[in-house]
Formats: sequence, C-alpha cells, structure tokens
Amino acid sequence: MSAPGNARPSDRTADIAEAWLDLQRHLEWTYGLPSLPFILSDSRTVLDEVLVRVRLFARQHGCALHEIEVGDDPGPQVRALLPGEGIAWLTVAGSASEQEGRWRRLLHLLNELRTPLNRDFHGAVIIAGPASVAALAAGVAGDLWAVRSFVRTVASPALPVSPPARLENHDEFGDPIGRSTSQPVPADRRGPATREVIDLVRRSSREAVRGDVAEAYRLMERAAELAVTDTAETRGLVRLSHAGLAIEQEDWPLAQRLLAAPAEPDVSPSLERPLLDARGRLAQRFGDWAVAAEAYRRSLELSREILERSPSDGAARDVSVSLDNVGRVAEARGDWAAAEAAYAESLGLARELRDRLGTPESVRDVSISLNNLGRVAEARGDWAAAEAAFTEAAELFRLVADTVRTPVAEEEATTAQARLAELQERRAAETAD
Amino acid sequence: MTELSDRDYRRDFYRAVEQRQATDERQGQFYVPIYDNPALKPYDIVSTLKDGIEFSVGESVQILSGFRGSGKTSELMRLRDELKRDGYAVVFLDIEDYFNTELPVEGAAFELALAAGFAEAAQAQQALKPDGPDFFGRLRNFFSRIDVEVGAAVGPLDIKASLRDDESFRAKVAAALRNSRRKFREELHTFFEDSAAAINNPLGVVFIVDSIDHFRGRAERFHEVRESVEMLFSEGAEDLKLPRLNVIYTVPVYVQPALGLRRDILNIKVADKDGSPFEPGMGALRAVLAKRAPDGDVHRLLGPYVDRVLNHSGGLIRDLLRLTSEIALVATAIPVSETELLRAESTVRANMQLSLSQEQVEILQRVRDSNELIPTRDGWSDAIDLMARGAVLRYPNGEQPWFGVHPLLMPLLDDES
Repeated sequence: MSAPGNARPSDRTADIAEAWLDLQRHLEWTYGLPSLPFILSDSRTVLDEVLVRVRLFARQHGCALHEIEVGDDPGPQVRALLPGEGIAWLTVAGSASEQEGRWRRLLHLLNELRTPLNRDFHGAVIIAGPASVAALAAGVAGDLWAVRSFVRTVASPALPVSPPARLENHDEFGDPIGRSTSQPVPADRRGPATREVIDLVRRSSREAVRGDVAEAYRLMERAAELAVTDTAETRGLVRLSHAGLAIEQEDWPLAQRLLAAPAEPDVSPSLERPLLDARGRLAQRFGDWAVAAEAYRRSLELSREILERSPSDGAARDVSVSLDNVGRVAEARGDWAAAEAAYAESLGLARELRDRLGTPESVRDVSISLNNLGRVAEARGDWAAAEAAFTEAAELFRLVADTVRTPVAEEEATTAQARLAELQERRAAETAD
Repeated sequence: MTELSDRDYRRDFYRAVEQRQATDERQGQFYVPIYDNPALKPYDIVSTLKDGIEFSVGESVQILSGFRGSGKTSELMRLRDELKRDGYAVVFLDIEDYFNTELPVEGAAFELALAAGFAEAAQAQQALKPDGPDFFGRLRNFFSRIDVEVGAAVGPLDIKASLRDDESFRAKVAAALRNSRRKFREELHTFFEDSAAAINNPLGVVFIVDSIDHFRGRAERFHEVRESVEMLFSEGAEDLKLPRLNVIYTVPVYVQPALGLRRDILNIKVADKDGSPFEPGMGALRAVLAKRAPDGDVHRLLGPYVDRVLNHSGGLIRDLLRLTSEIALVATAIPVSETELLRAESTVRANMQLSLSQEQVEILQRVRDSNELIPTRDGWSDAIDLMARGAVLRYPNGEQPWFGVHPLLMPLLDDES
C-alpha cells in the first residue's frame, strides 16, 4: 500500500533555532496550563540541544523539569507525574529496534491518560522523539493526536544545526545583539545631544525590562528625534538600540526597517560591526542567507581591521565570533568547504586566546569551535575527524564544568558527551553494516 | 482600558485557542450557544436529547454518534450541565477508561464496566456525604451474585485494571454471562434499579456513556472490533436498556442499533455543496473565535483572512482553534501576512495527511466528486479512519446530510488527480 501522505514533507521542517523559538513562545504563553507539544527529530543530538534550552528555560522560570526516558513499561514513570506541574520532557530509551514498540506503548498510555494529564498536570508535556512518532501517534493514539498543541520536526544533523553559541550571542535575539554596544561613544564622535540621547536609551532599556513596553518605545522614539541633529555615531547607537527593542518585542517589520539601511559613512567600525551582526542575525532568522552572508562578511572585515589597528584579546575574540557567524551561514547553505575554513580559523584564534588567558570562558570557546568543526566533518561523512573534534570538545566542556560547577556548564558537558556517544554509535553501526 | 500590546494580544489569544480538550473545565468560559441561531436550531442535538428524556416515562435509551472534533463531548457536557440545572441527577462515564478501544469488546465485560463506571461516578458525586448510599457495596453484591470474585476491596481502579489487563478476569465475567444470560441481565438490572432508587432524584437519573465510538481498531482488526460493537447493540440491546435510567450511548457511525434511532452530530456547515459560503455556519464559527479573542477582536490577528480561516476549518471547531493557534504562534507581525498564513495552513495540512494511504486518497476523491461516502466492505476501515481524522466531514442539508472533504486537504486531491 503506498502512502502518498508520507511522500511529502511530513511537516514544516524547522531548524533548532526556529523550533526553539516556537517552543519557547509556547512555554511562555501557556505557562501553568496543560499542553502537548511534539518536538521531533531523527537526530538525538538535535533533541539534546533542544532539551538543553528547555532546561535553561525551566531554571530561568523556576519551574520543575521532569525528564522522563521510558523503557518497556512507561506506566509508573508517566503516572508519577500526576498530580504535578512544570514541564515534562518525555522520550523513549533503547536501540532503534526497541524504540517502535516502546513508542507505541507510550503513546497508547498517553492516549489513555490525556484527560488526567490535562486536568492534573499544570504545564507542558513535551513529546520528544524521532520524526516517525507523528505518524505513529496519528495512527495509534488518535485522541491524543487530536489534542496536540503543535508539532515541529527539526532537521537532522546532516542539515545545518545551530551550534551552542558563544557568550556574546547566546540568545538568538537577546542582549547584546542590538540593545547596546559595550563601546562608549568616542569623544570625537559625540555631539551636543549625545549625553541626553544615551540617557533616554538607558531609560528605555530599563522600562523594557520592567515590562512597560509602550514607555520604552516612547523614550526610544524621543531619543531618535533628538539624535536626528546629532552625530552619525549617536544616530547609529539609537538605531541599534531601537532595533534591539523591536527584536525583543518581535516587531520584525520595525526591526527590519531599522537594520535594512547601511550604516552612515561616519559611523565607527566598532558600532558598524554590531549593526551588521544584528542585520545578519535577523536575516538568518528569516532564512535570507544572502543578506546574512553579506552582513557577516562585512562584519568580519571590520573586526579584522579593528584587530589590526588595535590588537587586543577582545578584538581577537571578536574576529573569532565573526568567523563563527560566517561559518554558520556557509554551513546553512551547504558550503562545507567555506564553513570548515571559517571554523578552522576561528578555532586557531580560540586556541591562541586559551593559551594566553586560560580562563574557563576561553576554554569553552575552544570547545564550541571544535563542535562546529566536528559537525561539518560529520556532515561530510568524515567520521574520524568528527570524532576527534567531538572528543576534544567533550573533554574541554567537562574541564570547564568541573571548574566552574554551574548547572549550565554541566549540561553542556553532558550534551557534548552524548553527542560524542551518538556519533560513535552511528559510526559503529556503519562499520558493522 | 489600556490596549494590549501586539505580543500580549497574541499571547492571550494563543492561550485561549490552545486549550482544546472538551472535558477541560476551563472550556466553559468559551462556550458559544451557536444553536440559538434559528438557522442552526434544527441541528441542536442537546435540545433533541433533552426532549427524549423529558418526554419519556421512567427510562429511555438514546443513541448518539459523532466523530472526534465534531463537538460531541462539548455538547454532551452542555447536556449534562443543562440537565443538572433542571434538577436531574447525571452520571457521566467515559468507557475508554475501561477498555483498549483497539481490541474487540466483549458484551459481559462491557456491561460490567457500565456498572463499575456508574458506581465510581455516583460515589464520587457524593464523596462529601458519609451517610450517603454505598454504590461500591452494591457493586460488590452484584459481582457476588453473578459469581465473579473480585476481592473485598473492590473499587473502580481494580475493575479498570482487571478489565483492561487481566484475561482470566474477563474470562470469568464472560463465563458468568454464558452460564446464564438471563440471571446476568437480571442482576445487572437489579444493580442499576437499586442504585437509581438510592439516588432518589424526583426527576430521574441520566446516565451518559461516552466514547463507545472510539472502538475502531486498526485496519487489520477493524472488522472484528466493528462486529463486536454491533453485537453489543443488537444481540445485547435488551441488556443495555437500564431500568429507571435515561441512558445516552455514543456509538460509532457504523452501528445501526436495535435500540432506536441513532442521532448524528454533524459538522458546522461553512459552505454549500457548490462551495458558496453558508453564512449561519460562518457566523457561528466567527462567534466561537471572537469569544476567545482578546476584546473579541479577531481581525487584529487575522486581518482580511478571517473568513478564509473559518472556511478552511471545514466547520470543525478543533481545527479552527488549531489553525488559529498556529497562526498566532508563527506570525512575526499582526495582522498575519499571507505568506505566514499559508505556512500555518501548510503545517496543519501536513499533520492531517500523515500516513494517508493511496486507498484513502481515492476515497477522498470520490467524496469530493459525489458528496457521498459509500465504502466497499473492505473500505470501511479506511472510511471510518478518514472520518475519525476529520478528513471527511458530514454536513446538514435538510433531511439528508452530505459528505465533504476537509478544505485543507483539497490541494492534496488536486495533486493526486
């Protein structure tokens, strides 16, 4: 029997960032209410990366996270959720051959428990499994499927996967992508209204944090009016901050309008660079890879110029971050050679910084670069190179976790180890075949 | 009043459309009396069922069918609330709590589950009355009289687990029925008669048995499951007339019960056969959505596409809510752009067409072309599956309902043609 429904894409396939954006929004908007999102991917690595984000979300919001990996009998673990609250992450353990039966049993059980779960579990029950779970649920757990919240199927590792990002861009659109630049306005680029404009921007930022978005916009617009007659640098600063506010509020048209135009000729490279990065990130969000590539290319040029003119560890790290951005776009476009070149150069810089500074952050940067390289090698089928990169990355993440002893670092170490194990398992399976 | 920001508006709207379980108590705040509209009044199943109860003396049996998402459970909840308000005692049982609906159902086990479910619900309703009737005691007596041992601490959880998982228990129950059908029925009816008397409601007791329509089975066991359910309502029909109770059973559409006329819950018609909009149906859906939209403002999210979204729900309220929640989630600005609307539709469509077989696509094409659903014997499983998924919908049209294909699936059929 043929299956024309399956011959088409089973779902809108998302990348991790997109799936997480939807899931995060869902979790925020339905906080404390019962819901049933499905996050699916054939890659365990991808699911782990989403899980890391869910863990962070749970921690930030002070809600309980129940991570449940069921075996042959899902009953006791699932029933233990009731009554309860928070977020439940439900998945199935075992080899591929064990999984279908286990998923079938889990879905049956959830189908049966859908009303008690809806009534007695105050929060999201996230079903995390391979892409085939959607069709299985539609078939064997129709009533559960009928009350699902939404489904996102995330690309497998052969397709671009967002890497764990550096501290500077740890959030797709959070600080400090656009809200401000850490550099003060240079003395020779200040005008009579610069101080007042900066004050307004700061107040706007505070109001946004307090949740008074209308007031935040009002202050920002006032800052923009004042900046009209001030210097290009002041106007650029307002533009960057205004765009950051718009992005925070998911006002994409405004953000695009603010970031579309090139920076004014007199703007300093240290301000032009974050403007370009913000434009690149926004374009990346909407899959406009050409715009993203151009923005990141120019940003890299500027960061190199800055490093050449005023060498510093910070400037070197900026180059490394820019290289990662260039690599990520190349990866998304399937240009593995360009991605590898960018990531390799970034790794070189990160290693230099690590050797010079020896801080946990600099070690973590090396791990991230190694992960990036490992992912590209994996996509190209170069298992040995991928394993070498992931092995070193896992060791360094573990080193950082044991040093700083924070939950986030611990999760990164665990995820890196899981990623390595998955690769090794796949490699072993291929060898056996 | 301060106007909500776009983000807060989307959040509030999303929260309201995200909750879709009909049994969720929170749904009550969103209920819209769509059948108050004179054009839809003839299809108000609650009014018909109430008539069937109010105009019966002592006891009655009514049979209802309707697929998932058609609003069946919501309407049953409304019926329950209205009857309670009028002074009736209402006992609600979801039979799926007792059975795996992918497997054939045995008559004796089903009847036993009716008794256990009734006892559980009735006991729960008077949980705060320590001196009230002991329904579990009556249940124990019933088991004892039909020679089925369940132990001293019989409770609904034991019965549920035994019926679902304990083959030897089911065999004992089946043997009790086989040994003396007459005695089994008498004892069952004694249990219900005695329990109804204990409730002692002057207007009467209404027993709603939901989810029998979930007995479908997968393709390979479909006929076996179907025959077992048909048997319940033909050979076992006399057993299901419960003394002193007004009973409502929800059954699959394939059942033609010996107990009386089956009433079908139809979908809300959004268009006539020729595709022209059916305004009373569109108006009803518009009201459903407005009830959940912040300040009743649907246009702020959907802009010029309100009617398109209503139409593309096919008249299934659950799909209307799903499509709207998908739009609220993915829209980068509001009102939603056409591109994002299409993307949301595409996502919902993709999940609807999961695992559709070639045979099912051909059934859909025939329904599209003829507005009829006449499956072959071998095609029944596929046809029922399509109706259960909401891929085939039934619309009212005077005396004779007609069938249609869910609007979101129409592009798929065009491709296949």
